[in-house]
Amino acid sequence: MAKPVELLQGTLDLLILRTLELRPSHGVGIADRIEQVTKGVFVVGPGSLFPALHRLAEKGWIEGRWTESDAGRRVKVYLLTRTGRAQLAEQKRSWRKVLTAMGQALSEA
Amino acid sequence: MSLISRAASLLRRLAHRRRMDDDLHREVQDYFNAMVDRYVAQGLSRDEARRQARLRFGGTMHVEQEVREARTGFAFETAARDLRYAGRVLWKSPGFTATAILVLGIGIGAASAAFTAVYSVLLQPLHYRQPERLVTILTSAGGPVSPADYLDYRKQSADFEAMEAAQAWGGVIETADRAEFTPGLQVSAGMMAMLGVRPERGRLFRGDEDQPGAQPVILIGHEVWKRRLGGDPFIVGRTIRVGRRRYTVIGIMPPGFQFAPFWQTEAQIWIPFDMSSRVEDRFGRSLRLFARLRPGLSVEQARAEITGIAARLEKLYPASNTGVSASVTLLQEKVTGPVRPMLALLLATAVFVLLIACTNIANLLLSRSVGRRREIAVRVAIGATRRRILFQFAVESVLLATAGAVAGILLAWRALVLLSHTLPVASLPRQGEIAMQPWVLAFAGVVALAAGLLTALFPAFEATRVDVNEALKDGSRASTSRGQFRLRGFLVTAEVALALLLLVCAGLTIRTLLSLSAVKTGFDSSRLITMQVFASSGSDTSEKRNGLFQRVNDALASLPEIEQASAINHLPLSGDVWNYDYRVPGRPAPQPGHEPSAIYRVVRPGYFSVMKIPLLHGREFSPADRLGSMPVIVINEALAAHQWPGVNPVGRSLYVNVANGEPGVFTIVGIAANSRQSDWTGDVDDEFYLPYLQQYASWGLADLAFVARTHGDPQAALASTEGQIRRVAPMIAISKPATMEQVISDKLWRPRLTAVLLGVFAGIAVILAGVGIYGVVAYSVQRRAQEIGIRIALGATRAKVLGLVLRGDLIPVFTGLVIGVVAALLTTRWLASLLYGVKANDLFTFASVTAGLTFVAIAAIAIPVWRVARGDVLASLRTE
Repeated sequence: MAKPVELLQGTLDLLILRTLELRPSHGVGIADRIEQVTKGVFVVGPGSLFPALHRLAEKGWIEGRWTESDAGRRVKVYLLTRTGRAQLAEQKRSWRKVLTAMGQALSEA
Repeated sequence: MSLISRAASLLRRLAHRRRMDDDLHREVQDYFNAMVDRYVAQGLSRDEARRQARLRFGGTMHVEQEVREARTGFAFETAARDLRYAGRVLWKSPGFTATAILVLGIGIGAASAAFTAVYSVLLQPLHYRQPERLVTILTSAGGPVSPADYLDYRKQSADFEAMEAAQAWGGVIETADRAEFTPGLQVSAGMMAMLGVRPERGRLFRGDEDQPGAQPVILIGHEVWKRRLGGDPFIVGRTIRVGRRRYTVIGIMPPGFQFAPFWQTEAQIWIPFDMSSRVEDRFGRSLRLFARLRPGLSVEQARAEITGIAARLEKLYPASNTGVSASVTLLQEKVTGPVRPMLALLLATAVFVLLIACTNIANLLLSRSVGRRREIAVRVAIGATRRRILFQFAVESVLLATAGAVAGILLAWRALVLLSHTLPVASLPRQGEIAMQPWVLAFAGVVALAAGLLTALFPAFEATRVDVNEALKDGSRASTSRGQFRLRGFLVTAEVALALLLLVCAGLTIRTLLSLSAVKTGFDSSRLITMQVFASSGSDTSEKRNGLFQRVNDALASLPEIEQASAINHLPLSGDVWNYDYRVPGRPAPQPGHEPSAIYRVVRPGYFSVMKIPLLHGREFSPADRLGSMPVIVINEALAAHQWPGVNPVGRSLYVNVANGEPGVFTIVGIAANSRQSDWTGDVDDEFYLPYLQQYASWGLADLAFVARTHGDPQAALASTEGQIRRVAPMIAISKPATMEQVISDKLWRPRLTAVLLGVFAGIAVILAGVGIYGVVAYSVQRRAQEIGIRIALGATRAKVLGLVLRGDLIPVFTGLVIGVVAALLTTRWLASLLYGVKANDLFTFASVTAGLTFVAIAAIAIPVWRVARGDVLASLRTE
């Protein structure tokens, strides 16, 4: 994972936000979900997941809360805040723009 | 995220760091446990599951660290940690730290003190309203202007909002118990309003208060109010006696107010100037003009206008105005002009001292960083990036530099206090304004930071280029890289070059001071004391004043410690100089503008013998030259040679237009040897002396400078005489009591100060350079002790080995000497205006300075080398 880090930076944030849009989740849940929906393209290790989570929390887009899990363990669950939701919508739009533009550029060549 | 919420979250983070770290730790641990659980669920044993999870995880601590680094406050936390670490490191090597702080302190202190002086005197705007629009108008020779010319400039010019005039004045302020002379000014009524300074109490002059018949009013300075009038809160509206008149005090000027700024700077009382009797006067040039430019106009435009008017006046009034043009100068420039070169030189040398100090610090840090290679290597090995280590080094240096800056500011402050005590009163323009200000502190801060970073980065870059494996190997010698040798050589070269440059400047200014001190005054200043004595208001006729001065003279002469006493109107080298036109009877009248003139002096009998000014021909004045006897005059050698070359003019006569007396013909009775009267280094002026006892009625002099030759220590005599004089004349005012040696030394304050400060700076530079060279050589010799030992053990002679080592170290020294000499040759031209009796490229100075510095450098090299060479070969082989 040496090269695609730069690409991942924005992508990972977007993927986390998208995951939390469906339902609040804890760290492991988020990592599992991302691996699942991208069909294993992105394997998110804790080394990149935790810094990303804390960065997003710091920006106020997501919020962490300590709760009891089904198994009775205390876990920190993250949920999307209102600003986070707005951000997600905004980022989705710009991603689509980028994708369309890139697609056109590549097919024209 | 807004800036405010970002700052808030930063503060929260810094405040709750501990709790947040716990929180994070728990969260990461949870994640880890969940993974372990998952592996267990997949059928692994618990131990194996842990192992797998750890592999996948890559260390929980590492993850936590990455989160911390992603946080906003991370840089702060690191910096704080680095700062603590740096503090510990510096504390652990107190020798190094103290040396570094001292050296930096000297450098920063010198630069800050010099910058304080430059800022306070040169850069800081004058304390008037919009000073950038204030100009002074003088004759083209820089002298005062006549009242009629002033009125014409004022009427005919359009470029000025206001134009006002000032004339030197002063008087004895008499209170119930004491009389004291206070310098002051007569100013046209609009002057203070034009300057735009509000009085501390009361009001300024009204426009009609300089008209004839107006009530006498006076403005007084804060100082006079506090010190002489006891700070009387109801002083405004009361009257005070100054000289022979009483004035109503209308206002007190604020503390620190100074006017005029470039002449009569000690003025503390101001009265309106009634010019009505002199509106036609074009000969009595006694006014300095001050004017405020209209907004947007340049000094050049105003200059063109005024010189145009002056040219017209010259044509209209050839008798008075031939050859008299005008000059218009920005006030700030006029004030600071005379000391600009000196202060610029001081600042430049102080910066050089700072540079040398920085070079030394860089050298010290370099040596240290080599010693710390293992520490660095360890930190690199456990994962520190080069950037982190560089940052750590920078923090350490900045901490050092900050300590140096504090030391420097304290030093500068002490130095400035010392300076203000040693400078003669009112010699440096705006002397009272020299003070540490926020600007100066900011300057010191910036200098310290720049010095810290610059000195840190060179060695740190070198030091972090570490081969970890090499450095960690236990037995390996911490060898010095080629780059470091080159850097050290460069530092030595720079130090030597800078030190040489400073030494040359110091040498030149010291030789200047010596030549100036060797100038012959024409009189004997040893055991000579002087004081200015002002007649009291009770002596309201010239007859009474003559009697008073006679009593003072007798009282002085009768004291056991006094040999002989006399008096003169203007003391040589410190008093005013007044020129008077004269003519030689029987010769054709001179062209207008070319009338011969000479400085006039009025002296009491015995003046020449008290001063030991020899009379080349004839006699000096005696008590018999009194009112009503034949008018006599003594002229100096220069005037005699000028008008009667090769002839003894005793017995001839001179026509002098004496102020209030009848224009008269005087018989020359004596020729006095030349003596220095005002200009220290220029040509001796033509002068004539008149006898006071014969002339007192015409001049109305209210003060005389008494001079007396003492038997013993003049300082001791000075202390006792004042009381003795007051016994015969209690209400006289006495000012400027001093020994003549002091008067002369005050005259030379500028070259002396320059020479002393440059001498000190150069001395520091040489010591620092010597220590720097010593450090470099000692270090490299010590590094090579083993090699030297082997060479000697193998049979090389000591001399040969020494030559080998010396050659390497001498090259940068000689390069420095050459660069220094070239730089000095190129730059000392700028000193020319500060030099006297020595050329800017004076061979003797250059040669002796170069020789001296070479000697110091060789000593600095030879001592460590000799130590190693003398030492036990086996011992040096065994080191490490």
